[in-house]
Amino acid sequence: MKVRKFRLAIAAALGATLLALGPTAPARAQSAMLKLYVDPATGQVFTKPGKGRTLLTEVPAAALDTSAIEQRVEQKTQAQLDANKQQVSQLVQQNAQLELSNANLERQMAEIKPAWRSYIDNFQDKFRVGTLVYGDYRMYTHTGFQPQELTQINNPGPQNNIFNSFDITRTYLNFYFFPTDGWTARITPNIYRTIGGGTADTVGNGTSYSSNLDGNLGFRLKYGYLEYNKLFNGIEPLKGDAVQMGQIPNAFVSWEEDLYGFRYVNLTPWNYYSLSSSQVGLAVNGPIKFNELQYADYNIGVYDNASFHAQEQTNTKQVMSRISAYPFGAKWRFDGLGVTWFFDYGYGNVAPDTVGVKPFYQAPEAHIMRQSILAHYTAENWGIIGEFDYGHNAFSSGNLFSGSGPSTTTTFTIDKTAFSYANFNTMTTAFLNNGRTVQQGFDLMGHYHIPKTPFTAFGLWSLWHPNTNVQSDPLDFQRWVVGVQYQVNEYLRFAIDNQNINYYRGQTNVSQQYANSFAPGVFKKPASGTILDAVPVDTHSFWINMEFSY
Amino acid sequence: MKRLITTGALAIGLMVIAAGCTAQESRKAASEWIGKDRTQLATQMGQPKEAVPMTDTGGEMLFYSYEGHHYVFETGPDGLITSAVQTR
Repeated sequence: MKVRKFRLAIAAALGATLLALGPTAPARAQSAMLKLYVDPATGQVFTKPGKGRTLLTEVPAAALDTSAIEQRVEQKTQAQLDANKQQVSQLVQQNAQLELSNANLERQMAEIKPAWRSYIDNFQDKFRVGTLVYGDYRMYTHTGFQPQELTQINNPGPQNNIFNSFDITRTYLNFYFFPTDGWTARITPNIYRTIGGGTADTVGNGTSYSSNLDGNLGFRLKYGYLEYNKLFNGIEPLKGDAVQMGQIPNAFVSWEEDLYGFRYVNLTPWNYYSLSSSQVGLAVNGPIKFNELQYADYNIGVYDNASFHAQEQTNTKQVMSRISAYPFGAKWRFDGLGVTWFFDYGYGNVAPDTVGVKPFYQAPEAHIMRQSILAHYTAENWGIIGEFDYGHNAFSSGNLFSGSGPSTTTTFTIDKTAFSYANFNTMTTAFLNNGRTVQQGFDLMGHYHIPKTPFTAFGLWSLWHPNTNVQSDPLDFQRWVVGVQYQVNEYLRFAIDNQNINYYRGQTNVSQQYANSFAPGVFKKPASGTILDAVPVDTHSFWINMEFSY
Repeated sequence: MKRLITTGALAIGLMVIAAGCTAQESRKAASEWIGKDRTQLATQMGQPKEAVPMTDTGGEMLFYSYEGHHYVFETGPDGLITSAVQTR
């Protein structure tokens, strides 16, 4: 039993050795095998057969080569070590990558700025504040009834010669905001002179607060709009053309002011007669260019019938268009010869349910039409503009007397004779407010920069027929402005000029019956009287104008 | 006579081509100012002989004489030059 156990132990040990040696051993054993014998009686193992010995097992000789075993063990160990080494190396690499990634992340985190910081850093590129200021000193050698020479300025009527005044007529605060590429928001408040007092407020039983509305310089919105100028970028000739929405420069007046260049001295024709420069609505405008030369420039818009300082009341809208053609191609905005056509069609700003009353009936809601055809040539140091104007119901008594008009309630005495402007005013309303008026005008404007000096001579002449249906209209007038400008620097310029209104018809009387033929009943029956001295007196004034632009 | 006409026509042709090239070069030379701020212009060229604010665009038209040449620049509302032309 003991021997049997011993034999089994040896066999197991040898078997384990063989297994440990792996699959290469049997191949070698085929070449040389070691036979082991055992004496069952003593349990001794012999390498040679003998008496009483039995074959215990056969072992491949190579399996007993200790150096080979050691070599294989070493190889396996080395392989394991190499594998471990490689794994460690990979771990080191991964660790290095992680460290690098962490460092990058830390750097990025450090570079991340809050949104407000980015906004503040780029603020100067997204926002611009500018200003445009007009001021003047004016002195009238002869005062008279007339339209305003500049925005919201007034003068006393006849018999107030040497009236003079310092004025501020414009203080734009131009706020431009460029939130994203292509979009511009503009907000421009401007001053205006308040005219017409409210009634005094009564407080308690015996206290009164007087109105402070009359004569103050108040602020109102001149421009407030959004503009997008990338809409047509896919069409090369229209690249940069813009769509504007809000209270915007209308299609004509601002453009002509830029063409003329002396808005701080006097208004351009239609602006002087009746058309505001700003309108609430929607417009598309811009140049049409081929090969870097501008061959046309257009502005088409739909607006409220109300001007920017009135509230819209109509159920219709006003359409304006301006098209300027430059047949030889303009290298810059107004360069060379240009021909321009302006058209405006709208209606009087009254509510649809307005019921007309005698003597004007529905005249306040009559259509209003304005047209102009201009030929202009602009060089680098001079420019000239010829203009023909034509209109329907586009010049009312309110426009004629916007600067100074007759009182209808007062009577005064000249050479012991009682006198009143009431009849003159009534005649004017009959001629100009009847809803069937036709206007016609001719204008010439220009400037010449005197070489190698900071001086520029400029001038304007207009002939205006407020209603061509009136024969020998006493209200027909010429307007002329001449002056010299001094450019102090790029922000500041001054002008000395002379401005005049000349009602050029010979003095005459107008019968009330003739006035009634335009607005029946404007003079009550029998309307047998006459309007004496129906031609207004001329106005002459000297001015110093200033413009500051930044 | 025929020779004179041919020579004249050739000369006029050459002049037109030369004028065209010069105009193109002038536009290229001035167009380098496009996109720059008007203050940079003032730094190099000084004060303009005329400056007209453009009330509708909010920009300005600037007329310059500089080193014997004449230029017309237009700026946008942001004060950057949008067009630049050398006129003479």
